[in-house]
Amino acid sequence: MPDPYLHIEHGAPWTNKHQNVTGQVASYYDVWNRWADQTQDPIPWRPGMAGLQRAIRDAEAAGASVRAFGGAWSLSHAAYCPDFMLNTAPLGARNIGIEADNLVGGTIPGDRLFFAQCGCTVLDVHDGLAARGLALRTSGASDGQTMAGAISTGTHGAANQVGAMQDSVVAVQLLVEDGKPLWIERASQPVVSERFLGLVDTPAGNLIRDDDLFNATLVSFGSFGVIHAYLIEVEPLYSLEAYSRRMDYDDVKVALGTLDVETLKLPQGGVLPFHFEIGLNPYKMGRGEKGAFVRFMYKHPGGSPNPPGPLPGGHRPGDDVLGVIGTLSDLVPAAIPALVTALLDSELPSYEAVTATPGYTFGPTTIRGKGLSTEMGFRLQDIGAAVETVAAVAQDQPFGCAIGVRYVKSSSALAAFTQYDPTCTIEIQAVYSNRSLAAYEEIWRRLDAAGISFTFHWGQVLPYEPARYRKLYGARLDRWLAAKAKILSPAGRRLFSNELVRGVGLE
Amino acid sequence: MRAPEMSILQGAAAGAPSPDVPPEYLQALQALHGLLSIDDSLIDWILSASPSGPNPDDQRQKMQQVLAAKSDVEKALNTLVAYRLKLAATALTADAATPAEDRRRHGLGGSQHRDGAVDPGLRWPSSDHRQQRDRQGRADPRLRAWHSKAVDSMHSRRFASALAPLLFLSSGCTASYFRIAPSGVTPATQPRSVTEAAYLWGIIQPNDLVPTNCPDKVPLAEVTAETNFGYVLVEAVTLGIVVIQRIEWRCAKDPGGQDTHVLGANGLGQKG
Repeated sequence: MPDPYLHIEHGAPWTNKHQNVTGQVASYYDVWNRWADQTQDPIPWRPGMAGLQRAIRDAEAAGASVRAFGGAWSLSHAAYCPDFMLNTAPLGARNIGIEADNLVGGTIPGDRLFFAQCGCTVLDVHDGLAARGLALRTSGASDGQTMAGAISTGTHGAANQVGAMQDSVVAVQLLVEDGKPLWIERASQPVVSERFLGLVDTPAGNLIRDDDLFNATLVSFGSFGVIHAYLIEVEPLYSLEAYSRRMDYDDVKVALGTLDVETLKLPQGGVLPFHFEIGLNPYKMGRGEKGAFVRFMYKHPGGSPNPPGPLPGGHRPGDDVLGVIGTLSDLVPAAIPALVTALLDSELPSYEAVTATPGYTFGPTTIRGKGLSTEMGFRLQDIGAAVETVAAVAQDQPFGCAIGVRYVKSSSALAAFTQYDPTCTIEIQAVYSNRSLAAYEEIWRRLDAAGISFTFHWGQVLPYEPARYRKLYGARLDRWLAAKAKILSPAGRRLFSNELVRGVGLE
Repeated sequence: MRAPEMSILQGAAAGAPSPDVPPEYLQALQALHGLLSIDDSLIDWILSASPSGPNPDDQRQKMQQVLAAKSDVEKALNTLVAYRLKLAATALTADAATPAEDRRRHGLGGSQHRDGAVDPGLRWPSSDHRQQRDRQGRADPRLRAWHSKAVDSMHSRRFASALAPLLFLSSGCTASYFRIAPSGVTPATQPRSVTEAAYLWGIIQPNDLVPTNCPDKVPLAEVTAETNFGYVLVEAVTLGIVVIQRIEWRCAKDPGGQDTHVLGANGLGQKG
């Protein structure tokens, strides 16, 4: 096999998309799907995979840690380590549809399967699938993340009957110590044949069918090895008929805490929409203040690959406030409520029945300014109290923030933060400042004091308190750690560790 | 005289201020100029006065008390400026003001600034003002050394106080920012940048840039051209002889060969 093409820098700067995590990297690798002479391969992922394997071996030889990253979209330390960092964003090879000869068991039709190399962005995937009459079952609000980054941190949308992105994955290709490739599937759902393994340069002996290992690997934020590719189950193309309506907080309280949407007078009455989320302005929670932004979408089969007409201000139905939250200032606390209100009013317009495919609904987000975000998962019965706790902290010590409440079906991934059925998530997007960090800490403290149990999104700001995660995940955490020990030696666990992994006690 | 401030002030007085200098800066500089003039008069008096009469030691003691009072006022001013700087830092680069321990607790540690932050201990070069006064040599020799030290300290602190906010903004505040990014082209690399200068009104230009981190035939996904207040000041002070720009780019994904049918091509919509 020829040498792979690698662009290597030493002492390189690195920053994540939201610019809240930055640092130097001792050895930074851009990995491309090219051989050293810059030619490509008929099997396009082979040079990139060889490049990742070479970089892993380089890191091992240096006694260092190694971490792969893609879109650098995580707001936590998930993507960063100061030793070796591998940029997988150029590795966007994909194969839509798998021949029957490459599959076993027939548990999933080949025309619903999609092979995605780690660097495929959600944008690329939406486009490629839509052109073939297919779609992802769910995605996050933005499409700049790579599949590996989004899946391995547990990214989700607000599709309450589907789950998070990792719940559509049926197989994972992982590169572990010495760059050894593993192909991991569920024992209860075998997927690929030996022929397939040959095409992805994985010896048949490296196929592992193990439910616990598979469910642990899904959300492991890079600590099980470098993810090279996924096999993902997709579905026929669909459209989302989207609405956004302003309401009073008092009017959405029942739906927020029960998912009974009858009282909201939606177009389909009491039918829970496919996508249902509530944005809240914590400074406008009173009667008549219209501080709730109810965004909901009904799913319809089929769809046009053409973009819908623009919303006022050039917005899209799936727009994410995090893109502009950094433009807020919290320097003058007394002005924060008015600034937040002005931002939400301008960035979350009301609209009715805007229909588009998922790719156009959840499109690109341009980040402006530095932002922070933390996201927690709650049981349905706790979500009302949790929302009011968050709003109380914002009112007591104002900080530039917006609150999003979403509902996600529980995940089989052992470390998924969407572990309750359903999991109600509260995302708090905020200005990057000490004030916001202090508010986050106060929110966590008050939720703990109120006896409300909650999980944390691994790709967002979270506390480094190992005992907290031990208590939250209990036996699932033991199974997760045991699964990791099946494929990594103690040295391997250190090789793929970083500050986040150590900080939450999962090395 | 303090060249950067004065060139701006003189420009303003001539009715032709640099369009890049905000009006509030001009006002602040004019106020500082007034304060410095009063201070200069006081120093002139101290340096030129010679204690005489029946109680020269009493006069000397009073002069020392005046200088001590000046020193106290300047300390207070410096404290105030330091506090304002901290506020400015919070607003402009919140990262700079975030204690490392806070960042670490929230998984935000290991950070460092992409843009330089101001060292509050910044010192403006020693002024020719003091040397000029020293050369006059009219003060009591016993006071001169003490004066010299005190005046040096006062000037350096005062200049630091006056210029620190300006230099802080120069290093961290973007004066212009232009970004070109075609829609639908996804960046595939971390941003990389160079800072280049052109000289003599464009007669000497930097060589064309070749982004060495992009493989052959891989286009750029975005290019950003950026100047900051410091670069604008340099351009203004040198009358355009030196023009500095920071250029940042990101490579796109490989344009070909990513979509494949190696494993099959049975998409629902069409056969591959």
